[in-house]
Amino acid sequence: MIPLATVAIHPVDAALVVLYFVVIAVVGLWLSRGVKTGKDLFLGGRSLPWWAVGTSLVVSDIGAKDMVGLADDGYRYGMVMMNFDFIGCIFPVLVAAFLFMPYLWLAGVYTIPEYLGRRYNRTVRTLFALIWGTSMVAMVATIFVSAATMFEHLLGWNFYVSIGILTVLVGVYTTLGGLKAVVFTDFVSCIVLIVGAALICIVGLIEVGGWSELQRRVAELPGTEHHFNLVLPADAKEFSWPSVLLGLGFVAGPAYWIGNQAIVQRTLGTTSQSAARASYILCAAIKMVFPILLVVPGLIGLALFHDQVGPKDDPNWQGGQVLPLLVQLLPRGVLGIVLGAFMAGVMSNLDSYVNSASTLWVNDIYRPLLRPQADDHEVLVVGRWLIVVFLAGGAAGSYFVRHYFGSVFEAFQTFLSLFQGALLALLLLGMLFRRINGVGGVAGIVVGVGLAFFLHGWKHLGPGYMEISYLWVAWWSFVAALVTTVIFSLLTKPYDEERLRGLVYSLPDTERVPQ
Amino acid sequence: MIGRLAFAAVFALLIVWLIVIPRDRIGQEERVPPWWRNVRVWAIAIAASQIAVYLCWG
Repeated sequence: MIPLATVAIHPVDAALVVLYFVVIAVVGLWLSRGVKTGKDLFLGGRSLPWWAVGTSLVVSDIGAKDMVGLADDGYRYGMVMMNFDFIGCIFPVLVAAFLFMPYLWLAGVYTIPEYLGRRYNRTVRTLFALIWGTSMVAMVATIFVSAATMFEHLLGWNFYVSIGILTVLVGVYTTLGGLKAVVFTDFVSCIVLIVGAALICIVGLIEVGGWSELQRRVAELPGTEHHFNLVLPADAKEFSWPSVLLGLGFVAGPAYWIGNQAIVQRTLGTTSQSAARASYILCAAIKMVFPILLVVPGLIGLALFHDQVGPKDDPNWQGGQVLPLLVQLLPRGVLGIVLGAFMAGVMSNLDSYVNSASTLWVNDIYRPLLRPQADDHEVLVVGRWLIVVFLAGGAAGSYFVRHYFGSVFEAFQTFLSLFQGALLALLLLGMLFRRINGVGGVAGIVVGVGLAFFLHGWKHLGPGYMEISYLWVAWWSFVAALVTTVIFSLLTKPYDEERLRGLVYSLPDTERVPQ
Repeated sequence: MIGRLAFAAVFALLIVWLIVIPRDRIGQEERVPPWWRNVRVWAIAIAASQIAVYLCWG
């Protein structure tokens, strides 16, 4: 790996970064005044405007790992990576806005496992709460590592000093201000992120000589015949169109945008189900632009820095270099805005996950299983302390993630694919069909997650067994969970209609107003 | 070619579904809002743009 020269920060750039920090801190602390109950902390008192939630949805998804990772992947694979935001985000978000969101919102729940508990049974709720709760805490550690690594490469900051600064800053406004502070600071962060990412693209394209010149220079390099194609042939080694359409578009994307607590929680905090729907539509609209802003820098990096970064097919190819090299092209002042965008990506990602992890542990583990008699004040206090604990735990865990895991991002994607298929199958069947019951749900989780484990371990059976892409694992575990849930539900007694009212598409409860 | 048509077809089916969803399912049972405040219109526009994206860049 080529040692990188870190970026020298001019006082103008440093002032812009400090200004961003100050704005975020002031907005976050100002909004902390109204937090009096658990509902204020976890759902912003159900008073969040759609436009703020829509932008918050976008930046809760985009973090440091995406900014650095998608630039690397754009360099290696080209425009096919935009599918993660097109078919993998816009399609499920539009479906969720009209099919799923109204039911989650009207059910008046705080979390996805809480909905599944009402629709199926307590076992399903607890299983998914434990899976998501654990993975979200691990996610906090991975966000810390990806962010601190980026600052270390880019600015020469000490790894643990970066984590310390992030812990204190995010901890203060997230603990005090709850979801409302998270959503409104995310709104500021989204604007900064879009401006910063656009500036990288504009400066990079000017440096290359325009879009046509970019295409010409990339085409001259070996192995780039599909770099400007969104859809790859069915026999492509990676990201073939059937695997992208079925695995990403029909399972991984919908499971993430419909079943991820960190994503769904902010829409549950909107003022009405119409506002929840509008926030998702705004998110989809913004997401039409983001893949271009995040993947095109990778193509620019390929055209400009292929001699320094190296061949994309080299097995020793190491990521994380494309974006830092591009950033070094930026003029004074612009660099400050882009650095602010990096901070925005990191902080908005981090605050969303710690707030949602706290919500999930309090509402699905602590209150129903450990302290059913807990009053609202106790829930508020425990929720705040858990945010502190998760930030501290994530900071401590970052040491182990950094030293004992090779590719954090891929490991986490693999872990997610173990249960995303089963989760989506249960959500889809539970919301669409009244005949599905709790016995079917539990059987679906066991078979779906079990098959995912088996397929991930497939390559270890012997030399003739090829590794199966995590997109295919997600698809087949989804199919297995779907079929199993249907069969076991049909073989056992159905729930009565009144129990399902307001939870299933064919049994709406339009008079219900969530508390 | 089949691949890009498959992606475009998914969004085309989504548009059909968005058009036929009953009004009472999306909170518009009393009156239809003007087009610029109608989430159904915006969703269809976004899905249509995705068809164009896949047909042009596929």
